[in-house]
Amino acid sequence: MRDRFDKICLLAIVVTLIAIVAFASGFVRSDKNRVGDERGPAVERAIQEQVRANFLLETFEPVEQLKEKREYAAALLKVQELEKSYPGEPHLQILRGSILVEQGALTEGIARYAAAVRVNGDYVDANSRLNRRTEITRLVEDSLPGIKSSLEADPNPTYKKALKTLYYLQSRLAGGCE
Amino acid sequence: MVLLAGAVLGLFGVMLADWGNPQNSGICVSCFVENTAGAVGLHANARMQYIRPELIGFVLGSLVSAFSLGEFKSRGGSAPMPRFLAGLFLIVGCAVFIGCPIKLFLRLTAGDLTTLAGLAGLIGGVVVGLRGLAGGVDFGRQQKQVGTTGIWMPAMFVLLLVLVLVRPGFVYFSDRGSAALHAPLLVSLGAGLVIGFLAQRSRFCVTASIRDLFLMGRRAPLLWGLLAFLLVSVSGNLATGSFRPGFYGQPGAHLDFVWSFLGMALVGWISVLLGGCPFRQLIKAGEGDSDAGMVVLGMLVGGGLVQSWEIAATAAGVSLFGKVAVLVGILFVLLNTLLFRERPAAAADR
Repeated sequence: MRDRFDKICLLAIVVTLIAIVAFASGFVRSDKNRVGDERGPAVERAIQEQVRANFLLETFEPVEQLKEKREYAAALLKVQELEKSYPGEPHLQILRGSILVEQGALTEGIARYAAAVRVNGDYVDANSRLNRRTEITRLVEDSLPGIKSSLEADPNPTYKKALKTLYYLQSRLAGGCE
Repeated sequence: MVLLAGAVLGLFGVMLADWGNPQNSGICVSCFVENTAGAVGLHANARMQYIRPELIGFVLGSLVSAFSLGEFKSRGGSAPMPRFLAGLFLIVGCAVFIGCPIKLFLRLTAGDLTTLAGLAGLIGGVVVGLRGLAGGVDFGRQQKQVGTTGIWMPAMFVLLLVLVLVRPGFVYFSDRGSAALHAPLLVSLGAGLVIGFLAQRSRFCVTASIRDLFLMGRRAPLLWGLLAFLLVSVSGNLATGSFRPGFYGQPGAHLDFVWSFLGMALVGWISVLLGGCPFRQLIKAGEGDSDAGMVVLGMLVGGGLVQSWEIAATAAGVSLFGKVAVLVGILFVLLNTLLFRERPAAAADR
């Protein structure tokens, strides 16, 4: 049998529960007490990521244009110039890698792609605006047999390193939880 | 019941990956804990934030099972702080290997041969842990607790369920990366509930199966559950085309074999001292065990730290911080082995 103390506690629990549901469901608005950003941190972060992606794509567009015109030397110079303003930016590594691969500098190109993916996994993510998944998949599939046979013919540390890097990219493309 | 629990775990372990979870991660308690920690703001890796409904299912399925059969008992009081830290280091070991013991076997049955180093480590850790138990290492006896202490951990998971359903602005949900890959919410939750229910009934646990193999040999019932789990997951991986044997290019795997070994050795060792792997801790937390609840809290904090402090390994390998964290974990277990050891002379005096 519950005594008066228990009954008061139970009543207080019911009242508190009603208040929680009322506030959490938005039935009661307390805007005058609001101190934070109404958008919430998740929305704010999504906006920041969109802005960053737009910035990268716009800022480095000249490199893409030079690459499309097959002016690889000029494109590499532009990358070099931009690297002074944005040191360590993985998007520049991707661009440099793609130009090097086009020029036939395969092992160095592979290394650049991997360096970019290590810093930003968005490049192998189909849902990202920075997605380069198809390009990287093609790079891995096309280069793997050649690098393997080159290593068999000549056990050069450069080929060994390139093979390890390709396995890394292959693993990232395969997915998994990381 | 053990056979059924093992088979269902293997089936859902494969199928959840087919239904949307990351490759080879249909069920991975440590990955899910890291995702959940990120979702509630304990780390800022935007690719690892999602409240995994499977975890909620494990705890609430266990709660339903324990309540329905009168096995829910609030108990605890055995070395809460060491258990909290042990939970944290469980996740450190798993994060360095990339996966909990369940995922180890899911990866192995999908043909990922890099897991062999982790498997050797897990078995080694269990053997060392058993030597410790035989030598008198014990965190102390649990006591029955007054009130309904044991209900608070399941209550926390009910809150997580509310958060994943309501999705308030302060909870993060990745829109890319591995945490953006998930099976439909109700499917994940349902699978978790079924597994949680069966695991509570059967006491099935991967690490305990290995432990019992050394204690009881082939007579160990849990061992048959593990074999059912392996058989079903191999069949499932073959049927879904997920079986790709090899060392290279495996999803969520690295080639730092020494650290895979040590990471899983740490997990095996701690699991034996705690009486179960990360999965078993969730199940026990659901049936009123506050000590397991402390381990789960430690796991959640660990899930945040391994991402924030760059302890977690990636396909590129294990970071310096990851290596140091595993060694600190081993030091932690060694210190506790000394501090919580009841020596033969002291036992005889009593």
